[in-house]
Amino acid sequence: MDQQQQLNAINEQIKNDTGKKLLYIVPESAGDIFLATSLLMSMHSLYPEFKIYFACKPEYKELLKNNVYIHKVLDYMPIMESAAHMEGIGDWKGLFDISIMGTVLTQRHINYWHNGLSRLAFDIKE
Amino acid sequence: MHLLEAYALTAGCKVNHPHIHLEEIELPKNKYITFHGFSPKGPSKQYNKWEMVLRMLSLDEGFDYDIIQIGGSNDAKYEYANHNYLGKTNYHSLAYLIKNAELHLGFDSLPVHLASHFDRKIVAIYPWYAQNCGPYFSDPNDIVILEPDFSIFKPCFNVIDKFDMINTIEVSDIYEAVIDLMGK
Repeated sequence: MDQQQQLNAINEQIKNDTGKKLLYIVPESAGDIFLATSLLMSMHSLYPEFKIYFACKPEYKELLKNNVYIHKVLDYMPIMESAAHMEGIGDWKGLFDISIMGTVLTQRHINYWHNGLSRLAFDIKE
Repeated sequence: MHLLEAYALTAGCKVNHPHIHLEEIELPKNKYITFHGFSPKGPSKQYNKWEMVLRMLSLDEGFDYDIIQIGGSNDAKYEYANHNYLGKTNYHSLAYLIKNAELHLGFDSLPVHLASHFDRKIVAIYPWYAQNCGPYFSDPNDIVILEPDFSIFKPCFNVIDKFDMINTIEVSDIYEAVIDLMGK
């Protein structure tokens, strides 16, 4: 699919939904998607007025069955990684109010290895 | 940094427990451990001496647990596993199986994260730093993580590891870790 076809396919799945929309993208794999579900309660608390859409590859969608924080599970498409296309830019209004590429630091621009030595200055667990 | 922490930083969200829908399946009658040994995603995670570990466990008279092999239908079967669940579970029944296990034995993969979520004991081997992708929700007293010595060669972080680091982990270390944890 070219970019326009991808945009059309995404829009087809969300066009009848009203209200604010947040797209959370974790394309793969099973372990990553399972772990990422641990953020959804916090995400829902931060954005209670948003519908949360979770995008992943079709073979992993079953992992998200009966997740109360997810409004819809969408098929991952490469164009979702473009915040400009998802959120809008210039005269393009975009498809979502917020899009978050969840795995950008772990699968695209790797920035978490640090020889297993890194530390956090704050508690990231709820 | 654990990859889940990288996700949290990216999203600006805090970490709670993950969610998985559970689907009941018939469980073995005896107490059991789940074992995930075959890596379909490439040789860097593939430990070639699992059969020896399982054999040592089977021969240990003090180890009174069945060994349930989990994985896909095309995975290699291990002779010393008592039950073969290869291809017999989906994500949801797999979670149920692991939730009811006494311990999970395996490598860096979804079942380790499921076992961690359910507070199961874990013995897991990693070809790279477990700090980045290990069991995140576990009590450190309930898990043993075994990594190669990275002082000479650094981890490959790839499906191919030309130094085959995972196979430098000793069979006896894995076996003893299981016995020690089950004795607690």
